[in-house]
Amino acid sequence: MEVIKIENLSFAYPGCGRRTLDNISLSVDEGEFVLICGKSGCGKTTLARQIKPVLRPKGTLSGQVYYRGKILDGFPEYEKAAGIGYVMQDADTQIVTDKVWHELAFGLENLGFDDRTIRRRVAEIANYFGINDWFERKTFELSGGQKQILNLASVMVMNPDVLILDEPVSQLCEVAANEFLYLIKKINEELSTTIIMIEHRLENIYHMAERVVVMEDGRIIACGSGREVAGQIMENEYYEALPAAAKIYRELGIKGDCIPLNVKEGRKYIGNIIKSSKRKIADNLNAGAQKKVKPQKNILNKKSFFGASNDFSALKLSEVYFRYEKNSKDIIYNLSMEIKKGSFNVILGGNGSGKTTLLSVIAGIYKPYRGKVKLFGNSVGILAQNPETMFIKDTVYQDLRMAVPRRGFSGAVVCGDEDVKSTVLDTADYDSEVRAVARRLDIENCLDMHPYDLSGGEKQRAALAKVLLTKPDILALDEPTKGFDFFHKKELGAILKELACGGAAVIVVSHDIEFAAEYADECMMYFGGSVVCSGTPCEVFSGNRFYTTAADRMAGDYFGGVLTQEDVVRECRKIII
Amino acid sequence: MQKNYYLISILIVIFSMIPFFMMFERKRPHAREVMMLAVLVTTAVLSRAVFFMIPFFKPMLAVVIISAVGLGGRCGMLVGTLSAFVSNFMFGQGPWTVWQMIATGLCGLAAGILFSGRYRDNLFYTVCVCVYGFFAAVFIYGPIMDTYSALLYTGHMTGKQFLAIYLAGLPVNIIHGFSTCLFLALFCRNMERKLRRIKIKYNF
Amino acid sequence: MKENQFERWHPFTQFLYYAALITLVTVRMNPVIIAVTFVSMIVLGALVGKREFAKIFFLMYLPSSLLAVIINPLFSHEGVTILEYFPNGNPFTLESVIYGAACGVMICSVCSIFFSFNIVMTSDRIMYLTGRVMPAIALTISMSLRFIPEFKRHVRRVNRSCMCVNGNRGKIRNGIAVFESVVMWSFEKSIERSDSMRARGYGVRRRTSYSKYIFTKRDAAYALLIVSIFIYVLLNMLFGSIYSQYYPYFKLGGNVRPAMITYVSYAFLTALPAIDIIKESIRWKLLKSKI
Repeated sequence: MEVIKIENLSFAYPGCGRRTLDNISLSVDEGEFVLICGKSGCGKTTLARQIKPVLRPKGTLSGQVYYRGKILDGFPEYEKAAGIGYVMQDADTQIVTDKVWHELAFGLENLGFDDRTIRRRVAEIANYFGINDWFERKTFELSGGQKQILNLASVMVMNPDVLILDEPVSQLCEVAANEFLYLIKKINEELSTTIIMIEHRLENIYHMAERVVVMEDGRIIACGSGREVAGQIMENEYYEALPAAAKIYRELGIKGDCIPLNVKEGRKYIGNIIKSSKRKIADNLNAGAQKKVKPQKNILNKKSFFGASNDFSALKLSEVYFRYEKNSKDIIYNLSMEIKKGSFNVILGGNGSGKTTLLSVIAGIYKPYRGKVKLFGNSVGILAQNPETMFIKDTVYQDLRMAVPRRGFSGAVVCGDEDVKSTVLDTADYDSEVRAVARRLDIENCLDMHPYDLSGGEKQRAALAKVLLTKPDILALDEPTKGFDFFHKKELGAILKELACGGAAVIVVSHDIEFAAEYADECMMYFGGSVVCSGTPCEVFSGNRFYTTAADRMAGDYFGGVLTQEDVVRECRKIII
Repeated sequence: MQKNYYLISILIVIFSMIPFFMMFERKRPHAREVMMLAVLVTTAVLSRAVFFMIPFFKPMLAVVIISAVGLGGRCGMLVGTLSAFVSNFMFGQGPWTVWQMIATGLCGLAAGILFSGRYRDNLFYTVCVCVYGFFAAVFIYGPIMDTYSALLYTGHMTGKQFLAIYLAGLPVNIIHGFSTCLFLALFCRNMERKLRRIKIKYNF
Repeated sequence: MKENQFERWHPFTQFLYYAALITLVTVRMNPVIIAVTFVSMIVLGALVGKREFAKIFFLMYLPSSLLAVIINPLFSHEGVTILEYFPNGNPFTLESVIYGAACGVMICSVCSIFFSFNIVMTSDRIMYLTGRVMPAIALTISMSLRFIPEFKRHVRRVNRSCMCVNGNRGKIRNGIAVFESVVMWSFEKSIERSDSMRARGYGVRRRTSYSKYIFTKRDAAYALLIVSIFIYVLLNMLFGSIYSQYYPYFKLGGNVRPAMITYVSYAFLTALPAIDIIKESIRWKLLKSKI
């Protein structure tokens, strides 16, 4: 039976000529798990919000949404509130009250239930989601993953039959995200709650969904099971966002039994190709082994070359120790590392491994109690994980202008080779500088907007522009890929690569392995307060089984030293030819 | 028989606040109103917490006044009373709580009556608000809190004692007034502009 | 930390207890009542606050009550027993000293009452009480308590960002920038936050206020006990059997027997939580020794 049916739905924001949703029709059966994906700005969130009337944005709407066969707007508020649950992206902003138990009760209080019913329902839900242990805790003390589970539970407590999830795991780390997804699957299977989920990080989710809907420019361009959709959008740009296995399938163009969607299937697919190719597997393995050694040798040479002259160093940490308080434990423990000018470095580490602290130590905000941080240049610019922490003024332009160092003042940063004799503040000069950076980061048309009116990606670029205006020699970014889709990562990677080529040392702190494998010159695995291993992505990952890219998991055993899908495709082509 | 005004005065203070709370309850406030109120209260509470090292030098009253200027007297009253109440979860509840509540609340209420709707984003009005801030701290907040300590220490009212206590409290109140004035001068325009933007976005 | 027996009382019973105490101790300033409260509040403070109570008692409460003892004779010149004359000719009377002392002990008792009140009546409990009468206000308070740590964390984050980008601007300018940024963030985020409230049905119906506290039979018994002792003592105090006056001369009056009964029952009222706590710890010791 259809639970939700959308008929010819069109929607446009006020003062916006383009339709955000353009004639959308979609029906969702009871108990179905639907995944809606598409590039950011394609209207997927707008669509989801149409199903939850209280969250509908203002604008002109045509078409109809049906819920259980009747027009959704015709239902009383009470039934709409309880029947359709909505979980949003940001775990923090959704929590309303200060205690976990109160948060769980919040929805039921709104619906006017009495104490006894609430007590029973809350107890029930706490058991189901395993919240008993932290039932009495303050919501602030929870981890990000727990917060999101709490948000899910406090929606589920109202017993909805449709659950809408708007990028619920994009802010979570891998481990927490998987735990959350497990719960979603459990809800779907055990309670047969209909799930409509929006997500752009598809690697672990794509194969879970019963139905995938791909949107582009407000239209549905593909709809069906995961495999069908992958077939339908073969020619579309969005294919790039699909799991690595599917991408390899398209690039190779070799027909298999079906399109592989996860690592397991991808591995089988590549295995089949190798089997069917004329050469023996043994040869390939040998070749793979040789290749594994080769790049390492190159790197060694490169290292000794750089080691000889320190001119290329941008930053050097030697045996650094740091802790916040005298009696707390060390956050940074015996850390030594060197960052070179013009290189793209990625420091990889799990959640809570103290990566942000590390950046603060590098920037000189915190002083280590032992060891030395040596900077070969004048400044470190840090792009915080949350770009919103960078904005102060009411327009992006004002904000950026603030960041331009004042010239001719004592203690000011002297910029490049420009003449700094003039003490007069030259407004035109500021202006041109701001505009130049804005053009470079493609945010020129956002300059007069309020920073909070920008999209996520634009916000980040505006914040990056602010950092760049201080003219840092070392640019450090804290989790810049968190919560962003494939296309944004690609853009960001290109920008950072360009900056690195321009001579700046780029340090990215992240747990995004795919990003590191794709763009980094130098990778460092950060664990327990120090760098466990470092080297090129190839050196760092190809020995790993757990902590590596999907492509390496699929094809690492066959070839060795393949980290990205391009590598896999290249190696496979070699065998076939 | 010894009359004791202490208990009576506390009861009067509490009952004078109740109508404002009930008005808020009665109209069943919208989610965004509750949210905005909570956010402003939190801002006020934190601004008090940040300066806890320097006695009497607090921006809390300034935040309350700005909220009142932006959102009206009733909101100012609620932000004032609730921020005094909530901040005492950090600093300790006591008989002073109700007095602080009414004192801050009244400052907000008066600010709302004087400026709400009339305020324009220019220098003249900002100066007016700053001057008001000074007077509110010295002539509304100060005397009310002095009354509290007078009643606590003597338990009954004689004009002379009161005058002495008010005079003794004057320096402290002037410091408080100056700090309020200073913080209003620093933040009033920017914060009011931000508040106005949200009002438009929210469609208040 | 584990809750003791008094902290397990239902918030309503606890509230009755504190309301009764505050009213009785301040309404007539009866010196015996004040003395009894003083003693039992020290005991209760020590039981729930331990070392912290001792610290605050000697550093804060005692000095401030001494102030009252000194201030009163300076301003109040009533009373018949003149001990001395001030240089300006005003009399220094024994009654004003006694009144000052009573006042001082009362301040000390009130402070001690609120010391244990702050520990026992957690924000949850106060919110429960407000929530019964004013659910929207209680919700606002709860939300604001939830925001405080989050805003604090955001302040730290913004501070870190500001130090990188707007580095060399001095502490004060930096502070202003941080404040403005945090205010902007909190305002802007409030839209998203209220979305989450509405998504969970806020404003759909008349809100109820859930409490996890259960009013047990023991709570009912205690509440009844507190209310009846309160009324008994209050009536005695207002209409007769116990009687006290400070001016023009100090006098403690009333028939001895009913007065004694009143004082003892009041003492029992104030000691109720302490008895509960001590009873529990003795019971556990006995159980332990049996094992």
